[in-house]
Amino acid sequence: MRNYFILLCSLILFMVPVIIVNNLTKIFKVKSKAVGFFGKLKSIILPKYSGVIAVNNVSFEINEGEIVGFIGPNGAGKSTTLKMLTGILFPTSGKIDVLGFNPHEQRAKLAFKIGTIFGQRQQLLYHLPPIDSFNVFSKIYEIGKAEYKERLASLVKLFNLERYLYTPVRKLSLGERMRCEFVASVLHKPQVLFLDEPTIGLDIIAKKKVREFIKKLNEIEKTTIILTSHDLDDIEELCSRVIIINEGKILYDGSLDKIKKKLKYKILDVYFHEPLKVLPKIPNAKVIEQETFRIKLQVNRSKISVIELLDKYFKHCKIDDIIIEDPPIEEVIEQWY
Amino acid sequence: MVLSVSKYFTLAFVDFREKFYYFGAQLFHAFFICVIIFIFFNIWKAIYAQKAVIEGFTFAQMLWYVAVAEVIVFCSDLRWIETVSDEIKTGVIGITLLKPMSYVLSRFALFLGNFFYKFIVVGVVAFFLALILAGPIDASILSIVLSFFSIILGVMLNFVIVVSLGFLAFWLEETSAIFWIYQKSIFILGGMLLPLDIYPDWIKGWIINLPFAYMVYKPAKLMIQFNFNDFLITLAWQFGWLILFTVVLYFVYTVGIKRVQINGG
Repeated sequence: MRNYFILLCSLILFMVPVIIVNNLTKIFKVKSKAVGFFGKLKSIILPKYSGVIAVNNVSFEINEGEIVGFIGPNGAGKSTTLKMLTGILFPTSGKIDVLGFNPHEQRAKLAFKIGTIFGQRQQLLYHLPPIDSFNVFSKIYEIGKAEYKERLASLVKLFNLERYLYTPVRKLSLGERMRCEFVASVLHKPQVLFLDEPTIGLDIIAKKKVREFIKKLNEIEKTTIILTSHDLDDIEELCSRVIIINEGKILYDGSLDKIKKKLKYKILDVYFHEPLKVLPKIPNAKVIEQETFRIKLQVNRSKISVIELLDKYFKHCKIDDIIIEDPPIEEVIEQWY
Repeated sequence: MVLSVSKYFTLAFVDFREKFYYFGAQLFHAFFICVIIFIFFNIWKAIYAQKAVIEGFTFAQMLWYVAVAEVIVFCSDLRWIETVSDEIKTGVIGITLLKPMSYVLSRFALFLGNFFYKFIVVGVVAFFLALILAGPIDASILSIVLSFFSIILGVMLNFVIVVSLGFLAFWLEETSAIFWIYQKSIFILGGMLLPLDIYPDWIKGWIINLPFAYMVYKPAKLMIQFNFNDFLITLAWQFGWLILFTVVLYFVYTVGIKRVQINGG
């Protein structure tokens, strides 16, 4: 018992926060639209601005080696928070400490220690092969020749990129390009990696590979990873901890399991082999969509399990396929809220 | 070190290489500049039919002036006003800001890579045509090297102004009108279409010491009629304008960067 206590204490003592955020707020100034000709003329001379609160008094800490998922609907403030953590956006108020640096004041110094991937933006040179981009990044991050050679070899192996190194980026598929983006972002061995929707637009196989790479990086190099995604599978597979953010406020900060236990609904998509003549009346399941060969239901799990529902109501139907999904992220948040 | 030279040199070199993917497009530009030079060749030929020397320029010197001025303006790529403002508007600026390097210096590296690439592709064709149409002019290797140094200073001055104007996108939503005015100012006040010596004295007196003249007119004239005294005076003015606009650029950037809004993902 004593040993366990000592182990627990040392674990707590060794949990070093690499990111400390205190009362962070970001308000964007937006020019108010004027109506009519004279209104527009007036707005040129005397523009009126209103404030849009993107991040509202947010505080949290992230420890070394953690993989933390930021989830929330569009415009919730996830990316804005990430951009403030990397130093490219100036906060309106509050304090940020990333690896001992103040990001917006020491952006360039911090850039040596962090890596970033914005799924919707590309950093590779479009017309040249990835190897040229890697060479440029090695110079930008001031990596020694021998160290770069060794690092590149190990990453190429890890990401299985041998075949694509000398193919122009424009000729690569989105999945291949994303793997190259990862290599470019981690060449300098960042201590913290910020991933903003890294799997956006990727097919299932490419998504799976990207998730594997993130896991490996975290395991091998103990990289702290902060991830935003609209894909709950990304969060589920990678993150031990999630931060739900909506309208700029943190609604939840904790484990994903706790959220999932609280989820009341599952979406059930059933594809039939033959047209469904009569739809049985199913209590605790709401029909969302209905077609000749398909039915989509919202099932209240606390009242009826999916297996029970299938067994009870569709036992005699010839079923081609069943897809069980979590409700959309907005609904998860709504349910949580 | 954010200011380590090698990273910017690598950026310039890689951009120079990447530009060769647009080699065909540059040949079209070279062809277009040849058409302009050919039109000026015919206009000046008609004008010089009456006189051997106009405002100190012989026919051959005038045609070479047109070729050098056209190449300087084309290679300086005034569209960088829009390039920079687009990077601000679309949030692409964020990708550069996330790297351990200076945004302005990284753009300068790309600007220089672009300049040298265009100078090699378009400049060679334009100067070859000027040589065929007007014959050689009197110039030593030293005068060409020193004049080229002045051209580079003019190009740097242009860069500093163009990027400062592009940064106005931090405040204005649209900079295309600024680009239009700046481009026309370079054409007329910079002496791209005509050497400033052709203008009436009272106009010339006004515009001769504006920064535009030190980007195009003065370096191009040095290349045609080199004079060491003029070279030193030009250099002093170029450095003066460069220092002034670098201060402006620093101020605009430091204030503007706090206003950056990188929307959407």
